[in-house]
Amino acid sequence: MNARRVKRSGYKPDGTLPLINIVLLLVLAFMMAGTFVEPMPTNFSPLRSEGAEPLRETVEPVVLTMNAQGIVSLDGRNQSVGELDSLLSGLGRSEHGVEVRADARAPAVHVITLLGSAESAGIKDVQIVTLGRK
Amino acid sequence: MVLRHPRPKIFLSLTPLIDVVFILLIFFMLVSQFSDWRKIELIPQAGLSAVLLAEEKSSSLRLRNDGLFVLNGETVGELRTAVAHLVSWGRDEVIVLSSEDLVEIQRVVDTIEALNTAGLTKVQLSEVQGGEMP
Repeated sequence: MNARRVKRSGYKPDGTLPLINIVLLLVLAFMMAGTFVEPMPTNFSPLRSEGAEPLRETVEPVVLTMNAQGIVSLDGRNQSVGELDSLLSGLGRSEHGVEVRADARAPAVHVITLLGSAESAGIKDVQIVTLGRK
Repeated sequence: MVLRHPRPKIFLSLTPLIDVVFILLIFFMLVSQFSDWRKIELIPQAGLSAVLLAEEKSSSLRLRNDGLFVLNGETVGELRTAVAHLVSWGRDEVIVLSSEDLVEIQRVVDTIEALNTAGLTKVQLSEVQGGEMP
């Protein structure tokens, strides 16, 4: 009887609705679980570690990236020594923390010097960040 | 006599909705990342003054370019040996870690990880001469 009623009203069940539901769920999953990708230099192979602790939230940390040659960049733009000094001293007067994402092949002395400069500038929260091992 | 015209049937096309949802899905798939950044726990370089370092038990571990280690002035072949010595001296030891010019930061991170695994968590990075950034 129901089938006859459906036929009379001209309603056809749409097979695309479940598809839309699934895709919307995927969109929601990506929106909630993912974070936006920050620009990384080409050929960047991040530091890896196993036992590091989860990143603690700081007030909008400034992400400094160091490539394999030891050149520091902010938002994809290379920083000269002068620019970096003024950036760090500016950050030292604010509440912002600094995250250093170094290439695994970067010279350690450059990373350590950068960390020391950030601390000397008065930045309280300076962190080296790594990714888990694959 | 008023004749009622039957209301024209409106067929709502779902195709534009599906298109928009797919575009949203692709957008979020491209800009999202699920990488789990982690931090390495370090004592700030300025956190321990010279006086404090003198009071605390401290050891220096230097990473050489040739893959060897120098523990308190003595050359050690393997990291395991250095860690074993440090553990035998006590886990409250502050380890001041430094590296030579060509050492990659990944090796420093691996060393810190090995020290932390052995229960030596007080690690401080130390700048060395010649660590000028490019």
